[in-house]
Amino acid sequence: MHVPQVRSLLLSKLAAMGEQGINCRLEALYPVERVGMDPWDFTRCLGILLDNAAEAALETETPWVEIILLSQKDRLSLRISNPYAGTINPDKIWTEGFSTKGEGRGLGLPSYQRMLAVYSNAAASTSWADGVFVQELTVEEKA
Amino acid sequence: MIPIYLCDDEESVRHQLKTALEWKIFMENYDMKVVCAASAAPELLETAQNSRRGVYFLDVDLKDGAWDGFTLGRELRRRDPHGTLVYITSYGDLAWKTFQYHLEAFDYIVKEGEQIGPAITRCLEAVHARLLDERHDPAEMFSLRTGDETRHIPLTDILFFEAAPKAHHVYLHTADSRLDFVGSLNELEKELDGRFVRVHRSSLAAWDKIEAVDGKGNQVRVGGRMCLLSRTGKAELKKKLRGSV
Repeated sequence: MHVPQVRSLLLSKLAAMGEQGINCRLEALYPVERVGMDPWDFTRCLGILLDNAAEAALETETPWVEIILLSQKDRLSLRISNPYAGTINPDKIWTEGFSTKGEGRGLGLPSYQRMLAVYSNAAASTSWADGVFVQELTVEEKA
Repeated sequence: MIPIYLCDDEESVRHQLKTALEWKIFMENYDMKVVCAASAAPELLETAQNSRRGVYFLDVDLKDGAWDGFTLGRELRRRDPHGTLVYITSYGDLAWKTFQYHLEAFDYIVKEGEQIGPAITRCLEAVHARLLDERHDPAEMFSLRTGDETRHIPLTDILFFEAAPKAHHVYLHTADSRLDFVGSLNELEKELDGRFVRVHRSSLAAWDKIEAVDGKGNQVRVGGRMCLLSRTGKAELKKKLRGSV
């Protein structure tokens, strides 16, 4: 992991999740040397996704979070998955201020989406099949 | 006949693999054949050049210039999108999920000690069962390309396409996912010819999934989800409805 911001965020989030009793798995087949976008923006995206994942996972009986980083020569893929309890409302999760937990919340995914809006080389997909919520972010390396 | 390919730089492993596979194929009378047992990636790629729906047993720890287990798998996946990849590893703890998600790898076998025969046999059984299964269910797929990776989504799972807030990006909605890819609604509309209706400048809905137009008439329910509807879109729907009655 050669991008310092990314490495330190990952380390601190992994440690925090471990303390909360979340079973974490991190796979990075190849060292991550570039992220294809501003490293701070990428780090904020990663932070939002990890916070969401941890929070949702903690509502389940056996909380876990899985992080897969795959750095290839022309692209970086990030995949974060976690179990969740309850139901997902796909028409609303991207809406500012929507949260199942009251006011002043529900800002994570909208700001994630807003941050990525300036990156035409980034694609963010989401799925929620079989009780597992998955966020995937692919950043193409600009030629 | 389903071709089987092996690639492992250790001769003894290659031999064990080949023997175990051939014995199993013979016993079960599978319509399969080990056509290549290569010691290095270039040899395998050469032989497998035009292979379709092959089964590949690859050493994950392959070190061979530009090739390692992952890049070899990626190249095979590119050439043979419906092939089956099985990995052989000497460590239990490989980055297995990476192989699963990015290469749709089917299984992996740990070479513990000297005996990998039984694991190979079980694996081949599972591969064979899956290939039989697939033959019964040739679902029509929508191919979604991001870079050099392709994801296949059953066409019947797609509810609607929506223009993403970013230029040239489109969201594909299914009941349990929203996938972001580079594309254009105009091109998709043409490509999917008649099975999807342009209900709005920014949405293209699956014709057979449209359930209702909502009260105010500016939204349409598609497979339980809300999707924007324009006046032109409504006219389009009416026209199509008349045509289908």
